[in-house]
Amino acid sequence: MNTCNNNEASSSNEQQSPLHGDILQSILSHVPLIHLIPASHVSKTWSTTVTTTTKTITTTTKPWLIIHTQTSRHPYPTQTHIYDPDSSSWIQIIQPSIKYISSLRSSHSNLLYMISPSHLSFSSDPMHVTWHHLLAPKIWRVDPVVAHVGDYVIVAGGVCDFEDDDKLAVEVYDLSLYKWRKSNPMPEVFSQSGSATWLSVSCDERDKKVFVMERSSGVTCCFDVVNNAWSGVYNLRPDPRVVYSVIGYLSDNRMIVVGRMCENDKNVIKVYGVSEDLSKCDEISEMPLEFVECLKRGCVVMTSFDVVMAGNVMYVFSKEWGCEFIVMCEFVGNGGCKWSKVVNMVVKGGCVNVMDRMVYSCGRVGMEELRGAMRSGDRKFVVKR
Amino acid sequence: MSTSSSSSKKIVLKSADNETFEIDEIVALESQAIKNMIEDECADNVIPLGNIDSKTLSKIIEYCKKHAESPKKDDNADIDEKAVEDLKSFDAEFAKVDMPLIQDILMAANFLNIDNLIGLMCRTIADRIKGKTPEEIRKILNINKNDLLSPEQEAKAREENSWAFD
Repeated sequence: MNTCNNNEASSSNEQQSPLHGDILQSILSHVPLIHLIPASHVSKTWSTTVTTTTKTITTTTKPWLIIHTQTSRHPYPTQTHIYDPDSSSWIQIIQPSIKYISSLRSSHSNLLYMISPSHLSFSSDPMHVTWHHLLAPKIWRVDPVVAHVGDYVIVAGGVCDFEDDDKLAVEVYDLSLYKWRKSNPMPEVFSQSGSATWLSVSCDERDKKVFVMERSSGVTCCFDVVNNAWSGVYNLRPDPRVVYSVIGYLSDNRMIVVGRMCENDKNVIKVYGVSEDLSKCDEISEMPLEFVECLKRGCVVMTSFDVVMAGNVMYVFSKEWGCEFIVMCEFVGNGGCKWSKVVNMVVKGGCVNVMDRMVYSCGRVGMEELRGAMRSGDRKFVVKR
Repeated sequence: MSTSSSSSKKIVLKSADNETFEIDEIVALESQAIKNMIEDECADNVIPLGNIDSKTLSKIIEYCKKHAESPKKDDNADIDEKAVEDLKSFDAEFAKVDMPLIQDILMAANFLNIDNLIGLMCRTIADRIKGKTPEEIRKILNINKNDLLSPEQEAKAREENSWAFD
């Protein structure tokens, strides 16, 4: 550090700074997480107070949106950008590229993975600092559904080239036993759509269940990982006009369905809460039309969108290349939603090319995760002012 | 202030530099500490505030006057938007002062126990240190150089040197 040798400066103020204790803690509670890192290096008092403050504020810190981009050419380098809603800032993480296995993909908000005929790599910590590498499941298929819940990694469905019997096969890796086991196959209802492209995936961490929904029909089934059993079919189509829907889980263990429909020739996106027994969906909120337009970005027909969510925040983004906006939705206490739009700096700032992949995930990052990420490996964090 | 002010009870505050301020009791009641003194009947005609100078005290009175005049949030749920906006812009203007005065106001507000004002000053300081380096923060807040990081904290700081603002 080169900041500690100004002995000649400011002899005027020798008494202790009045900012300490409760007062300093209350100042720091207004400072977004990313600005607390430099604050913790100000002085001994500040360092201690930042630590005590962050113990109490992690619950109020909004989840971050994490965007990975992967180029389409050898050696397929990746880049990572983060959006922090508390400070409305974008942070670029400069780090060694994720080791390439195959195309980078995401599933159920917090899972990133790559799967090849020989390997499966995945990461599900909030900042994707840690990657786990497994041997691939026995049956090779293209574009299967991948999920990680508790101690289990689930690979289900996908497209099989040869054996049609295997296309709904499910294999589960037990992270405590270090091995794959074959499980009951996906229900027949997914025989035409049993791959990640057509299905939206969501995990109930509490009950160790994986939900898969056919985006085009709302047909949903549930896989109980511990008991190895599928249940359903559930019809999570809250409105017959919905033509496309996705699912996700908020941290209060509430399942959310987001559906798109046409009303008076206009695209409408609505958010529904699903009852615990999956018997009904109640409308929570509707995305303001101007934000739907932002996601559409001039296309005549609204193409597909997807969502990632954590805590009580959901990010909605277009899967079409070149969309410069992300829509953020906060589920507030009174049962409604607060909507806002965010300029996607990865697209707007030209950090991505037309052929590159953009992979979205979402995580609740606290001081511990952030410090852990800073200390492990060769990383640099650049906050865009 | 309304014309009824002449009839209401007055309180006199005396600053550290012996300046006196006569204010309506309702204004003084914005301070939980003064309110407690009045309720406990241990307030004389003149309340001496030996640790608050007149410059700081007059700012605090300005704040309390405005907030005492404005309808309180908990009075009724549907107070008009305009009053809220008006108070917001007053607060924003009020906070546009230099850092030493902000810190003095904060300390005085803390002593007088004026919750809203403590909150406003804390938010103002928070806003001014966002995106600043440790050295810049020390300079802005005139933080004592003797309060050095411990060796462990210093080591942590070096590890976290990978944090930069572009």
